[in-house]
Amino acid sequence: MSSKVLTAAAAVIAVLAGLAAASIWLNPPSVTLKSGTLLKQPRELPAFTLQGSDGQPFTNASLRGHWTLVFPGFTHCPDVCPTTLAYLKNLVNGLAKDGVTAPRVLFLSVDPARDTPARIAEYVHYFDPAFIGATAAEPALGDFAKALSIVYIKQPGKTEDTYTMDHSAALVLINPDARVAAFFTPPFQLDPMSADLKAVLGARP
Amino acid sequence: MKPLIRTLIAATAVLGAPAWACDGLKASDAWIREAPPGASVMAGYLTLANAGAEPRQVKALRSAAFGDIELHHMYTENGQMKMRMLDTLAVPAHGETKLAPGGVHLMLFHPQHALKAGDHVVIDLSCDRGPALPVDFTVKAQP
Repeated sequence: MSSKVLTAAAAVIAVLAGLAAASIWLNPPSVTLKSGTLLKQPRELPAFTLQGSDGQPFTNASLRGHWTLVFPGFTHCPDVCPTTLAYLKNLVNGLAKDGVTAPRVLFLSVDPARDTPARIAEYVHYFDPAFIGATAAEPALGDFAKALSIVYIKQPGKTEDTYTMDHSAALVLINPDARVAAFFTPPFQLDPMSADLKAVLGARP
Repeated sequence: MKPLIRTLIAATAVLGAPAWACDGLKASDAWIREAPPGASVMAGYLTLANAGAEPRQVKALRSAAFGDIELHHMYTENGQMKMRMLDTLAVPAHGETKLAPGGVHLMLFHPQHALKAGDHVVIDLSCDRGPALPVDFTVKAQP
């Protein structure tokens, strides 16, 4: 081979190596999820205070030190909320069987008018005594929900007390630094979501 | 799911028949999801088969076990979980309509007493034609 071709080849290799190095430096390693989206930069939450289902204030500190999976819903929802909570119970049990510490499940009620902390506690404990819940009056509820990209809106029913709440379908994963790490979207399936959780929980240094 | 939605959308006309009743329908797999304590709303599901040559509309549901019963359709649209009341439940001619979690369900308001897995409840279906159809529902902790 001529020296010109060798020099050109070397130059190309050097440029490619430089680009690769820059790419790794600028794009931190990320995990591709089968059943949702992983944020490249976990999102910090503003300071918040909700009412926990244990009767205690639920704040940013309550989210630190462990992973949390947030499910927005309301206790007057007889179909999808029980179905999802039962699914989450199976998910948590499955992870535990595989020796993985499952995220803590937090049921966020978007219906504080009907869902008191005690009511929420009674509701979530039916599915798993380890599940917790929280809610808040406005604007605290709205501010917290917005930070988690959760939206909800009241839909009137036939009578004053039979209204329903439309709410986001996604489950929100919060990391031990109390930052939003990922979103999981329906349809919720045990195998892909368990695999995703294992990957995300395992990837964190 | 799509054919069911099309059927439901097609069944918008409220028929003003003087007698509500259910020709040609047979119910199966009727179950109510056991609810957490203190729940004031429960969900019911069933499969309705129509042996007749005409579509059948379920217009009303009544039970001594519940204060009120409505038909609702749960669906996800643009990442939002929504639930809307349906005026009627249509069962296609020589066809079947199946209610299942995450879709169309019966909203059972104000249970008259706490219901546990294993309990049985009768719900009467009134339709656009034929006699009322009493259906035995079993309370279950899961499907």
